[in-house]
Amino acid sequence: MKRLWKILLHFILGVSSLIMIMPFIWMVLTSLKSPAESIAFPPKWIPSAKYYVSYENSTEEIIIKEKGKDTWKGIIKAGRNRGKVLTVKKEDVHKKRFLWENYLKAWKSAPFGLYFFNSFFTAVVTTVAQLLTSALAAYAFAKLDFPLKNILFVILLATLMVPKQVILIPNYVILAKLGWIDTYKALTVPWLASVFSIYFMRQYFESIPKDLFSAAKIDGCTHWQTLTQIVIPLSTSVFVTTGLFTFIASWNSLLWPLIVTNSPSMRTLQVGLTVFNQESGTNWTQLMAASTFSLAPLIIVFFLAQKTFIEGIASSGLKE
Amino acid sequence: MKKHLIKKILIYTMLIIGGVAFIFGFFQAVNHGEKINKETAQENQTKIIFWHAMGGPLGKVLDEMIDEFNQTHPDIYIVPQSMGNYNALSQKLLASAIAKNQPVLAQAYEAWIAKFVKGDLLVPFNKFIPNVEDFKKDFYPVVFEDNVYKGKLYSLPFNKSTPILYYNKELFKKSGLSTSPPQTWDDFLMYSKTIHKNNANKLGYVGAGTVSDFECFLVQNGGKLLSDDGKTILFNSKEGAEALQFLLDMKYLHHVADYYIGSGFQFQTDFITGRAGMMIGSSVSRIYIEKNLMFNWGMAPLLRGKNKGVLIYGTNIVLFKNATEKQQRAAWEFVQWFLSPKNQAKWAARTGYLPARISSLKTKEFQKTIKHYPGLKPIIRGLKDGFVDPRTAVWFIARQNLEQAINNTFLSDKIISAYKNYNSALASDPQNPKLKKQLDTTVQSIIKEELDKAAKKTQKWLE
Repeated sequence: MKRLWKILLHFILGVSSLIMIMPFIWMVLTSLKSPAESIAFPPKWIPSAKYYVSYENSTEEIIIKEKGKDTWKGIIKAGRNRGKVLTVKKEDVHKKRFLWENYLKAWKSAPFGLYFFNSFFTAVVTTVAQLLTSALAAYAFAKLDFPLKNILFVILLATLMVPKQVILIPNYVILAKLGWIDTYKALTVPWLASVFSIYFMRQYFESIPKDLFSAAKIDGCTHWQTLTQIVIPLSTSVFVTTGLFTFIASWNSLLWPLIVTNSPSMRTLQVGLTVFNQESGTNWTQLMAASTFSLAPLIIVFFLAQKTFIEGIASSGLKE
Repeated sequence: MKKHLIKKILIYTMLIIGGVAFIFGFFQAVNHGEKINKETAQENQTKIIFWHAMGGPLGKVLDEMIDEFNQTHPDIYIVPQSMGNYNALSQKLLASAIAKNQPVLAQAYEAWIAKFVKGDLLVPFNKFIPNVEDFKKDFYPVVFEDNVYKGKLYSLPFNKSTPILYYNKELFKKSGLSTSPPQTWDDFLMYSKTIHKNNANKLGYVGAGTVSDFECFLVQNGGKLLSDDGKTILFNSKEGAEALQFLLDMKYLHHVADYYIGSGFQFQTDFITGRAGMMIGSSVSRIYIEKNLMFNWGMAPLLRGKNKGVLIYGTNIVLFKNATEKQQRAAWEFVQWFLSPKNQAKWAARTGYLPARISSLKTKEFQKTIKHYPGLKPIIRGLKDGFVDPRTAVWFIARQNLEQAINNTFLSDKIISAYKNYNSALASDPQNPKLKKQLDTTVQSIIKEELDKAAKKTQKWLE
């Protein structure tokens, strides 16, 4: 019975993780297809083998009609030169199934190296700073007594309810008056503190047993020492969790970087991805290739922090 | 233990790849930064920031043309800055107007320009054009008048496109039709039916059911969007309801069309893969779909109902007042260059936008394009029947309300069941002439109700 239950459980888990991973697999597979295959109906999972020749400075897909000993005959499949019959040398025909060059094309269609650097820099600065400010604020709200503490905390929480779109333009105007538009300051400074992180950490700090604090006090710890030597070592999981949340949010943000930067040299990855989504159509294969390489760092970070991350989600809301 | 090892290997491989990519990216960043520094304006150059929303292949063409301008005009340096899309551009322009740090030049839609004019933020181009009457002769009147606010030329046409009919010649031929495109609503329906009859799993027409499509069908049916004095909404007319019913009939009565409501360019995909014989798309769609088309295709002007009518959309270019006199002169130099017949022909040939100048059509470059796409000739000739969206800022709201009304009718359960009832009633009593009349009344009243709602919601902003 127990065994059966376990099998069932694993089956359910397997199916749901398959559902979760499906879009990622689809993304990677689409990134390796030809444009025609990416929109084919019914959809095709695995790209099929295709033949390419270069013709008039561009690479064209051909349908092979005749395979001679040295020369092959083929018809151009799509585009301007569609239907032209070509007779080409056998060695000039390239057979390809997975179009890895989509990645190269996508990478070259915008300065992605620069975007990577900007995104990474912004995300790291924001994450480190947010962890620091949130830990200090959360400690104060959790363990210190000061006048108006609860009112202040409620006010802080209330800001969570203001939609970001509402403060977008006022924030922009402030930054413009400071002369920070189109600088790294605009990308990072407004996000150095976060109410959500403070709230998240405070809830966790509250769950640390009081006795520990009393013990620290008896040993003569200052608040700073209590925070750094007692609270932080006990809260690695919550730090990893908030850190990841912040990192992911910063990495994925689109609207803010788009609004506060103008020049190509200040743009971030997500802004860069908009090159592929245009007025009258979307370049799916290259968009998926670019999405794949811009997601890769997140996946790495997630794998590295996976264990502590999940622990953090599971336990930070619990009280003893 | 083994599992652990695999995971470790996986993580390390990803780390190494990520690390290499990052270092590579960093060097590219440094290189690129240097290139940008080299490219920035030199001291003796007038620097002009130009905000636009052209990306992808269109942005590439624009960048190349600006490069050409910069090289041929050593004392001016135009810096194109892409905002990604029109929404972002509009938000940024609004925010920058409040913060008073506008660019020198920007693409802008009519409704935004109306706001900028109200806020006195723009330089009218009259300043640089001594004889406007003479200047305007070479533009299509609708396109030109679209730039005149309070008698002054506050903007100039930048990227203008129009919806056109794309059709699959091979499917036409296979269905026994001629390969010339349909010209009237009746032709359109007949073509669609013939295609479906001869190819069971194919449709005649796919569309997105957009506001722009509706506007065209409405005007073709003799309707109007707004009264001439701009004070009364008129799209909720009988003509409007009939236009929508025509589209609904194609799907639910004749089963020869399909609409992808709110799903972006999915309809284009259906046309590309050959599921449907016709689609109505932007003239710019050409450069996105062409490379994927595996059949003989053509393009044609939109259809004729009681009237002709085709929406001309796209943005204009504006010059902001906070630029210095020197910058304003330099910016005009660029606008003038860009709007020259030769460059308009080049722009149109490479992007699918319409050339703003009539004399562009005679240039060698454009003649070559027409030879390749014969359908372009009647499309451009048809621009004389073109109309533009009303320029009041309220039209932005009107469009949203209209979109909702259209979506509601296309997906209305009441309408779908009305058609179903009609079809089953017809099966048992095929000779009854009353049935069709009943269906028409029901469908018309539901559509009218939705359009009235949208009109009412919009009307209160006009007062």
